[in-house]
Amino acid sequence: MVRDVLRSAAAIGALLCASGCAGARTNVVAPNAAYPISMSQGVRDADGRLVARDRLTKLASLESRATAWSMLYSYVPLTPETDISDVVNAQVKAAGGDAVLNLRVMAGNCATQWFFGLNVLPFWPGCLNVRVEGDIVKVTRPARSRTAARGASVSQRLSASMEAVP
Amino acid sequence: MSKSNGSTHGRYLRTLQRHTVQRSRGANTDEFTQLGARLADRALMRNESRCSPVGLALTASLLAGCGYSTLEIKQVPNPVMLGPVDRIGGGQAAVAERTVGTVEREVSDFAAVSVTHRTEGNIKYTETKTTRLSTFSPAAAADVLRATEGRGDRTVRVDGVPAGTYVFAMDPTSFVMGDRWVTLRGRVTEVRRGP
Repeated sequence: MVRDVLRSAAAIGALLCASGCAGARTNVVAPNAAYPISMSQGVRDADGRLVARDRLTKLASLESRATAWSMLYSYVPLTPETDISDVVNAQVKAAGGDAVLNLRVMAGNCATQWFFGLNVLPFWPGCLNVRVEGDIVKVTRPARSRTAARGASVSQRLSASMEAVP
Repeated sequence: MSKSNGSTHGRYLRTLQRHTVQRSRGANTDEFTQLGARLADRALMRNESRCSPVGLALTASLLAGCGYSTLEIKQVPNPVMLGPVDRIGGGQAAVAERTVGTVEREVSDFAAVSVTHRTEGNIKYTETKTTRLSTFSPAAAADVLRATEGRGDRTVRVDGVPAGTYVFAMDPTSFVMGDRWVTLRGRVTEVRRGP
């Protein structure tokens, strides 16, 4: 009888120890970015117009990796925000770019989630691998239209002739 | 001697194969997930004769654990801006920018594997269920296109991109599930021209 009870208790204990839950969450932000960061292929010029695709040249790839932590089965985030501002500013500046386009945010599990004996404990940390990738681009100036170029040359000739008049 | 419920296996196998095909067509295909799907295929087929709970836990971990859920918005001409700078040269959005709507879409990858055993007479039945629910990035891109109506004066402003994961197991040889997600949550604004 006692042996059966002990055996059942051991089975329940083993089941509990083998169970568990772990997770993590974060918010990817860029509050201090000095360059435009677009998650699509669209970006606006200084005058607010959309930049044509033929004016965009990819210089390099942006890449950032971070780990976010949480406790209490992910209810208490220890890394509530993942700030990519500094990474973006440094990599865009180093590449000589103007903006980041096609930003991709990726989320994946990390190793601490899989310790089933331990992640039943509320203080066992869960973690999240965050990868951020994107294209660092340079925007070329818009080609001047033929009419505008002709107008400029006429005005130059006019100003030159005005200067020539005594 | 073990015997499995063939129809259930067949249904889940087909489901899994369909998801595998979708993944291979989707934007965030990764080799870990494909490996997980292949292992699940093998595990399900193997279970026709013999159950391998440890293999199932491994399968669940590969399906839901490894790899990444990716939020990317391809082929959309409207800007989807993260951060304070919204134009080339470092300009910031006008304060009077008008919000005309919102867009929200979660890109996620959920997987669960469960094993149940029962005995009827001299026959032991082992039923394995593999569930996979995925939402891919093209859905987010479609939402952005729908929200902006393809208008060039509309921009989606994103204050932050929430992301998360969890893994839950109740006796890892019987039930394991996991999820990972990235959420697009933004305001659709009409942008005024001018610096």
